Amino acid sequence: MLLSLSVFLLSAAVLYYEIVVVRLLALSHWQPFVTLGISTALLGFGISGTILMGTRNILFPKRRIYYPLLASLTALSLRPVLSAAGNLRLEPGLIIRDPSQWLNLGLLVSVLFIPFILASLALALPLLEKETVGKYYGWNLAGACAGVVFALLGMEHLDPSRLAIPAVVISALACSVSLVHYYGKPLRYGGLTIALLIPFVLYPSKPISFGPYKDISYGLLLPGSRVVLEEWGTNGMLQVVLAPSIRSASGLSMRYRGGLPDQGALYRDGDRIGTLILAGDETDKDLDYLQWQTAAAPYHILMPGAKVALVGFDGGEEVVRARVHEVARVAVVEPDESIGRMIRNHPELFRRWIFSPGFVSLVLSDVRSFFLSGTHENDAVIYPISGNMASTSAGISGAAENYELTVEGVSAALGTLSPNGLVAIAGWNQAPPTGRWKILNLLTEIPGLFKDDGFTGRVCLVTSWSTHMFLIKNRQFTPEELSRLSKFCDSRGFSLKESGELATLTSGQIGSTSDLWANTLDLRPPRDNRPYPWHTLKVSSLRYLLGGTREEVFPRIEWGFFFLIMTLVLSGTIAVILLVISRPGGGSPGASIPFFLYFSCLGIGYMVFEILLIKRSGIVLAPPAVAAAYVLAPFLLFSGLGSHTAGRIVIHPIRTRAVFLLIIPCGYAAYAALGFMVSISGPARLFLIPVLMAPAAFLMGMPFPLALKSFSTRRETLVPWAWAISGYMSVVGSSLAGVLAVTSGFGALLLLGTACYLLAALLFGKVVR
Amino acid sequence: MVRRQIEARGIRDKAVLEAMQEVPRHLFVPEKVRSKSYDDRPLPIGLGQTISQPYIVAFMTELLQLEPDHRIFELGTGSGYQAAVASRIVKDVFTVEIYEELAVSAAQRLAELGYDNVHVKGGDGYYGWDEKAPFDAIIVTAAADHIPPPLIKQLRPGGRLIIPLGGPFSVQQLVLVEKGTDGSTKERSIIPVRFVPLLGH
Repeated sequence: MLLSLSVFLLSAAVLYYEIVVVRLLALSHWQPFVTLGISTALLGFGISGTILMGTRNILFPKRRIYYPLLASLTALSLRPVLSAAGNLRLEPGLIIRDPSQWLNLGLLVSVLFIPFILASLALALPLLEKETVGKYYGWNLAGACAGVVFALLGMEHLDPSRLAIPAVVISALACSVSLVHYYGKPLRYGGLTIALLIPFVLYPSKPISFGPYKDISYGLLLPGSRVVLEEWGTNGMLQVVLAPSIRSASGLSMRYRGGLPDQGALYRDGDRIGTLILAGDETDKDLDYLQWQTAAAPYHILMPGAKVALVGFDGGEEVVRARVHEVARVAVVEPDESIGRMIRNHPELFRRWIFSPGFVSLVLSDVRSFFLSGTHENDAVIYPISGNMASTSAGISGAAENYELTVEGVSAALGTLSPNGLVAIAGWNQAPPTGRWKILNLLTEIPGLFKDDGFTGRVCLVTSWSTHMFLIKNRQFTPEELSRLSKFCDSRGFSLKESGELATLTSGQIGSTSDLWANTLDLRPPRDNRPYPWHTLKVSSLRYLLGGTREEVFPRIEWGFFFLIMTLVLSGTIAVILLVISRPGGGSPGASIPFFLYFSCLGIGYMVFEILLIKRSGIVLAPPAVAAAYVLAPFLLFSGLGSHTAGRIVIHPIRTRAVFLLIIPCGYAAYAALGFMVSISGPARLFLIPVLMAPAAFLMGMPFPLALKSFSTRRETLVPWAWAISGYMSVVGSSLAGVLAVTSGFGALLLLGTACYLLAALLFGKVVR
Repeated sequence: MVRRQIEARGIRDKAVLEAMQEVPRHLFVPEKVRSKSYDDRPLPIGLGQTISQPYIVAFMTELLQLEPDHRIFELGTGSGYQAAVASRIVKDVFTVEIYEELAVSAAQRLAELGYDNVHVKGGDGYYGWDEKAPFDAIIVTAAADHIPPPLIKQLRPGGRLIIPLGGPFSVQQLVLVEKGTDGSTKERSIIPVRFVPLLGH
């Protein structure tokens, strides 16, 4: 029992650490780059299998020495590794032009490898015991589930500089418990562990430093800049910086001659996400500029006293704009609780009247549920400009899910409108204007907006030199409304395109054929089964990226997608090399192709379903970190239970195959049910989602221990090899799932998961023979 | 550098080419990157700022259609290189740098090198240099998310303003604004570029 507890604790520590490392490194690097680093480092699980193949005769017989030793080394390595990774100065943006950055990336991955190799080497040792394999694998998965929960709690309650400490303590406890298991004497070993830990827990943490690619690095350089708010939570670090020279007015008309009010800059994880308009004089004359941006266009259609819904609060600039244009009430749908806390705890950062009773209601909810709840009828639903121009142009979010700007999402928004209401979608101008084309293509899919190769009179586009705004009405624009819009645009130097002038564009229509980049854009409308509104680069573009000059390539890269592809290529290459190196000799049953394929299918299939369900849950759970944790924790827990159960059942070829075949419908059912969750109330949903995960997760926890248990001969060779294959292929599977989701949609993931489990079912008989 | 990187890429204005030939770029970059002074790329000058790629300096200068009697304003002195190049063509260059440290070193450097018609001030260039306005041309050497209204105000009717618009680390559009004699403005995107951000945006 004590060893099970130790496995549980060590697994919890490792998963906690993995999540924490991702969060902390996201402060110094672009998020997709962090994913690249950590995904590759997770190959450490596979590497431990490779190491174990060569050292099993040393480690396993003396596991009472090596298990506690490896667990203690894991504990001791966690903080130094994190410090070293944070100190590496990487410039992800230079990775395609500066070979030294590859060296730095290699160093980062090599450093991050260390705790994962140590911990998984320790965790693999109990699996070598035939009778208890299911039990320990079950505790391993259950511990991982606890790690997710601890990570959520840690991020909510601990300062980032102390965030790694619980991982050190939990893994040290794992070591301590294992010592008691092997040697007894709890007091002695407990005391020893604590004494060893003290310096590693207490040594001072370095303050968080932001990387040079983070917007806040520039914000903090401003003369007189100061951080007036710092909130750390599951969704990252929220900061507000004030400085006299902070001024933002995206797409401001060049005809505007007035000034700007005092502003603050709002950052999440160092990336600028909004502008705060600070308290000013009572006349509010300094707010005139809000009428000189494209974002003011909807208010020239709406009548005073209108009811408006805003998708996201950001810094509150759009709430102020609504107030300036005399709307009656604003409902702000904000999925991020930390924004809600900022508003509640720091009202001094905003103009007092913003939160006057009855004017603003803040709805902390995912956006889709808000629309489908039917609680608010709106005269306008406004999607403010998202992110910033830099990250949009650079495509940082290209591979990030967004269910708000999908065909179904915008349709849901239209469904909340009053008879003469409108939906307004803001965006940055890009060169080429890929984002705009993508939204146009999205609108063609919404019933009633597009007919006979042309837009009906319900769509308009207002464009300034750097921003644009789509206006989509519930009924046709009247001549009077168009005239008001036209006057607005003329006076500000903006352009107005009415429905008749708007054309959809497909990749084939873009640019001339001489353009190197023609036909390389993915402009398919984003849908709920492929919710990537900012992804516009086709995989086929990669050959241009590889062949073009730096000047051609650099501005065109969609970094989010590029790093996703790199993650797959890098982890796949390393995995293949290490698998070839570590494969057993020709005479071993482990050298057979069915053996390799079986465990590859399990590694890939498990990750494909898990990632599919995490991605899909974003439709009802937000922000993304919470969604991932909320799916991952029950998934791991039920998988653990499945593994535990597998350890107790007698292998029967037909019944075991039935397990594989049941995984497929259960996976499909969980996926489909997540889509229906939007129409279910919050608390019921929080209960139902884990229940929905349970059958698929439970069954998916079984095949790995079932096969391990069956090895009657050469266990000491086969188990490490199976552990290695599964470890490597899990990483490859998760990267592959990410790429497939973006390029081919969730349907492709379902097919891949199905294929993996079908093939595993077919191969099971050959593996257990 | 001038022949291969600038003339060969289409810069035709003789005054600009002569100015680029005349101003020693290596004296405007820090010691440690001096060996790369004449490479076709921007170089770091400290505080997260850069000295622009020579071609972009020439290109922006040409777009302004400068005349010998012009008085121009530059937002973002940096190392002082762009101001030095422009000063070879126009009567006076007024330039403002938000980093006091850079402003002092640029002023000192320009004085030592004899660029007496360049006037450097430390401060927030967003508001231009009201006492010296109007200007025949304005050049903004850092990326912004909007054109500062005070600069449009300080531009003389018939004048030109060039500014990179966009965010850091991404493609920005070099935008040329022409102010008509009636005070109206007309803008057009010229080429995509990359600049460090105009602080505050």
